[in-house]
Amino acid sequence: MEVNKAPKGLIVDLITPLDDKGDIDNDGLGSLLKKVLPYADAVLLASPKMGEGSGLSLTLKTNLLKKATAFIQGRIPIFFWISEDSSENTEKTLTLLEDLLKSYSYKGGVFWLDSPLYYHSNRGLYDHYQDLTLNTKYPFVLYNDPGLINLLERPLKRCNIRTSILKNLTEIGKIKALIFRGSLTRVNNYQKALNRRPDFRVYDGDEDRFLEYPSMSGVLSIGANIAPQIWSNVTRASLGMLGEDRKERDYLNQIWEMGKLLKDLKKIYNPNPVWTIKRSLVDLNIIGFHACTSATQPYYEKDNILTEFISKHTIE
Amino acid sequence: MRKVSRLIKQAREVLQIEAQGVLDLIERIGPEFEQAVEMILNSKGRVIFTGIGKSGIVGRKIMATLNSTGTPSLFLHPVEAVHGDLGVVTADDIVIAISKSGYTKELVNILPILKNLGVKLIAFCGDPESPLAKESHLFINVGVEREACPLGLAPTTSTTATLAMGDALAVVLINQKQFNRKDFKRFHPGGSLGDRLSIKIKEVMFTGDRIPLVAIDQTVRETIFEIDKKKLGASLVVDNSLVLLGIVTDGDIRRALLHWKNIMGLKVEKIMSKSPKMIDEEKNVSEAVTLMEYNAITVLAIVDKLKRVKGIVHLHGLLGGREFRLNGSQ
Repeated sequence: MEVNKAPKGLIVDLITPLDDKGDIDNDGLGSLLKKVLPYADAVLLASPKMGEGSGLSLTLKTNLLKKATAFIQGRIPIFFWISEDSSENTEKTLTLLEDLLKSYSYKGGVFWLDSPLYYHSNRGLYDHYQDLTLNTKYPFVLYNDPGLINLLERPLKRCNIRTSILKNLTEIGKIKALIFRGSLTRVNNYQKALNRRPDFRVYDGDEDRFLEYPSMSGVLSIGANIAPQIWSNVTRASLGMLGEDRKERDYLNQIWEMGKLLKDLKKIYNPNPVWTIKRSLVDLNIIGFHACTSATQPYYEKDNILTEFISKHTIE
Repeated sequence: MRKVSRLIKQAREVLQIEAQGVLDLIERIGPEFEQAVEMILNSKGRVIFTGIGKSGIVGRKIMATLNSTGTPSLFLHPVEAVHGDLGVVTADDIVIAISKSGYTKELVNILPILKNLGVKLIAFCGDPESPLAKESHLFINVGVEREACPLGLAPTTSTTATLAMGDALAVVLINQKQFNRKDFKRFHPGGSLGDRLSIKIKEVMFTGDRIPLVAIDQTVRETIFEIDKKKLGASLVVDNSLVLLGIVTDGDIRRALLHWKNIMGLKVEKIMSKSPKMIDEEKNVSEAVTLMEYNAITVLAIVDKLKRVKGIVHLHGLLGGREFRLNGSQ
């Protein structure tokens, strides 16, 4: 699958199913992908927070990509988070994953998702990407998440890609999109910087922002792990992708109710999304284990409110 | 206090998003905009706007702006179009079709018909891959990056951006046509459009011989002659004291032709609408326009308190489709 443009719509920020030995839970991954694939326009693997990418070893990342590609088989594009603690290690991960895909000639769409400020400063970012993009045939998606950078122990001067730097980066054709979290003013400035690239997509990395003021490219959704169909309906309605489906008379009301449901759902899993969602997926027999990496803090609650909410509202 | 702050913050965000949607158009305007301006300037016909829902409302506003600045325009509803209104379109016209997504079924359905008629088609939409963009001769990108409404249920930023692009088109056309202050006055004799709509109907209506008028006992043949002569697409039907009894429009004649084999000898009473819309000559132009838009009619009889005919107005005349004339003078 030759990729000239990043997809539009719902990107599911997939949890990484692990077994009790800490390996990839192959069956769980298969079941989860089976649940989300019919509704997703792309799937993000090993994301820093939800996919626990910052806590996954290189071996686990390699296994995850291998097993996911075997299941997805090019049906939708895969976004894969490659950032490590340094430029050298990021490059090493990229090379290893690239070689893996080459080894079985994977034909599907793959985008390398990179959070540059996770390991690099704004200074010299253009040169860094010129080098990095030379080493791969796959396109890149940038991930601007100030929250992630603030979690790092080392103090950094900036936690957002500077607008002028982003403008330079968009001269590199292999960089196709940006997932954005942060202030409205900044995203507006980014948008101005991107005017020369009409093919460039800016996805909302914040579910709440998308539900309030939807961007026209799409959304990175955590909640779609448990409610992919509802998230798909809302995303497609917000982006004008529904076509004939919107002919139902109470279409607006249905979308409004679904939007409200997703907001209520988010309130439940928001304090610790990985822990809470994994627990519900175990309750629903989609994944087999509630195992998380050490990067995820345990979050104990007496009853699983999320599972009860899902059952009450018959969410599929 | 906190609640007010939150509301103000939200309102500011909405304005910020909408302003950004308009600003983004600046970089996006390209050669196709120039081509659209050239196309309109070189056209012998009119600019016809079409669109449904909020896009239709935006289309009507741009149409009104073009009309008031010297570019003859009208609005065609896509659904009404396939039920007969396409007759208004000629090969010399330019159709500007407005749709946020470019997939609006009602609009896409009439594109082949419009192309067969030989009109030039300009798309105002946000998706270059949409059927509307692909089927049109020119595509003007009015896409926005973000809607300012929860879940994007109501078009907000996108309608603002489309409206702004329409204004850009109107202003550029003014400059290209060297539309000067004198011209503007011709189209706005009351000073502003608002002033114009607030003047009394009796000051602008057609009177005397300009009123298409037949007596109740006259024939359809005589009525057709009267309609043809006065060129308003309708004739009023009155009794001996000029009291309004009915109205005959082009549509009534069309329907009569379908109903009777030979209508020429029929009495006009047979085919007239017996409850014509009318308004008092002392009312404002704006009230007449509202009444006509509400009832989807283009001709309105003006009467006094005893329902005696005093004049007649045409919607296009009131809205600027032609030069605005006091007391219907030439």
